[in-house]
Amino acid sequence: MARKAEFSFNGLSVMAELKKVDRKKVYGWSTIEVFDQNGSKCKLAGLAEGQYVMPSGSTALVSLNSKGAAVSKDTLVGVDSDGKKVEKVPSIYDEKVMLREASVDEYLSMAVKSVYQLQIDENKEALLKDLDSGKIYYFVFNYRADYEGDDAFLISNGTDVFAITGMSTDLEFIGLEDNEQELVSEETEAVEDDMDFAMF
Amino acid sequence: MIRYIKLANDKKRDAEITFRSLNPKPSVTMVMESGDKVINKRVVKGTSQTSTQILLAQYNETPKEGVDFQLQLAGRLAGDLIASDPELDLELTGKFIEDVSRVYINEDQNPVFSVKKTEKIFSPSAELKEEREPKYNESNITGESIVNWTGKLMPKAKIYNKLVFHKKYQLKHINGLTYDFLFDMAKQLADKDAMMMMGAGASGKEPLVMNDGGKPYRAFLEGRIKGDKYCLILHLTDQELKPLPTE
Repeated sequence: MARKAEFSFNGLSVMAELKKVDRKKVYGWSTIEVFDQNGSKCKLAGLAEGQYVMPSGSTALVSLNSKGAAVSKDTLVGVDSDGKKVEKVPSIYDEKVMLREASVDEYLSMAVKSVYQLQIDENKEALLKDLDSGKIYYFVFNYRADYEGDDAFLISNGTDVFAITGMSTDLEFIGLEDNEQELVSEETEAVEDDMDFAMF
Repeated sequence: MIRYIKLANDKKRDAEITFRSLNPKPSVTMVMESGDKVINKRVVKGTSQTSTQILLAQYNETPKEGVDFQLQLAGRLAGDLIASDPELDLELTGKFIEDVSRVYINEDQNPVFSVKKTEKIFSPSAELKEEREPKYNESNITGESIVNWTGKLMPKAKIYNKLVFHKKYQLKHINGLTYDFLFDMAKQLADKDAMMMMGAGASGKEPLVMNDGGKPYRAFLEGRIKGDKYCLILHLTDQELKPLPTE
């Protein structure tokens, strides 16, 4: 049986199964197949040091300590920007998810990663009514417990409830003085320095 | 690197301004229990010469009666993997690598230098609909191309649950004139609490292609104001908020 998450809002609870809405399941998809001159199917691979052909899966990422010894990823802990240890954010399946109201601007500030459709058994109408009136609910999304949860919003398209997950962006309010400036290359400066009007 | 976009306003006046991708970075870093940082490096696990496909091809076996030949070969390889580690190249396995070029390899795992590409289009139910030469989309947001206001203004309260905005870019001025240009744009949109559909190409209504070879996206411009500061966000979408098709 599929796992269900429990969402709590306005004193009500809904149990929902989250199904990922993959774009290709809605619109279809395209793939590019590559063939050599003999019609043999080709794949992308890496070429290291100009001689070693490395098909997909030929490399791995390792974590090393200051002495260069490999460190198991299981032994690592998460810290914030101040270097303080952070607790793991529980999975949405491990405990009740508390929803809070959010604004359209807050939702639109998020860089979207994934879309999930909620399959709700009970209280769907109550939640739909809330969302159809323009309400948006925010919660922290983690499929499994991890050091950092994604931002997530519950919205409705009128018939179905969706959880849109991603990460809120740092929007910048820009004033007149905050304009983007190209770095002046040293070469240009040197040319200007060489201009000696006394030479005329 | 500063990236530029040529944008026109409602009066069809255009200006070149800059933009940056809004791509948030994780706020949590993984460190050792002691607080010491770790360095992540890419290492070699194997090469084409130690791949399962090449190792299997080295056996000159005759098929045994009543045994699946692939299973027979796999059994032989499994024994060798335990006994003599043929999958390890002791000169290379574990070596750090940084610069890796991308090449196409054929079924014999050899690089190829001349290729033919075919694009296959599949329906949501995985049926092959079309086969064609791949289309190459050229960027249409700067140079000769201008990104225009299409005049289609959508209230934010109505559009947020119709489309999924996967990508976001923030626009920024480069001088005093373009500050006025962008501030005015943001104010118009903020006052109406709406987003403007943007278009490019010859008709001025085509989807935007942000990079050469990139995908086309429908684009919507959102404006926010705080005092004399503005925030202009270009939202890109290629997906409506639709449920999964019923099977």
